[in-house]
Amino acid sequence: MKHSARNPYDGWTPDLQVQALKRCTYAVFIATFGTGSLLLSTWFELSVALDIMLFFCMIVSFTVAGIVYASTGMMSSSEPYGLVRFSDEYCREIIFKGYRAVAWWLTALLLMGFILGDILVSSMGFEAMSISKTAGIYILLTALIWAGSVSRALSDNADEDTTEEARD
Amino acid sequence: MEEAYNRIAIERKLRGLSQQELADAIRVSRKTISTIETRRFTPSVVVALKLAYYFEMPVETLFTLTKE
Repeated sequence: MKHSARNPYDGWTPDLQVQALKRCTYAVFIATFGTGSLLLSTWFELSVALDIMLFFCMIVSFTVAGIVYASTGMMSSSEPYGLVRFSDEYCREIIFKGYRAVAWWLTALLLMGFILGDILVSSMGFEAMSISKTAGIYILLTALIWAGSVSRALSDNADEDTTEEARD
Repeated sequence: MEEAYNRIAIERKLRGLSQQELADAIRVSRKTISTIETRRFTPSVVVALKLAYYFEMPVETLFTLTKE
């Protein structure tokens, strides 16, 4: 296979890719939590205690996310320091499904924002949101939707093999 | 949309193989095999041909458009 030429250990096996993708979604969830904490403390004027707590959450989240990412096994891939490529077909399929889910959900949210945005701002007394805040929320939602879609596809255990039991 | 049916689970069990053994033999993940068997994932021509070569049968016997 193509990656064997670059990685002599050839440890980037299809099953490792599935495991790496699963752990990658965990890292994304944790990092999203950290980013959410950072955005909350930046955007709103909170009490000092709450600010410290959010800062602590952010540091812990980014540290844990880094550790989880390091344990994914992606260092075995052909591009350990670059963009990791998945050769397993099922992994590629669910990564694309994740992108598709992101496209659908963000389009639906944009549509809702377009229709209800002005009504919400005027009736509920919200302040008009800046472009940077809107972009921040979209980044968080993109990460959450992608990771949610991928982890949902990976955690479906309805197809577990029963051949071993059947043999016994 | 038309769906493809397959005999992979039957052929695999006839040969006494586990999903992991089959996956290792054709260099895909176990998840790929399990999702093909449950028809939640339709494989590419490459994987379909790998399976057909492994089971030594024509690909159109392994994958069909009608349920047997």
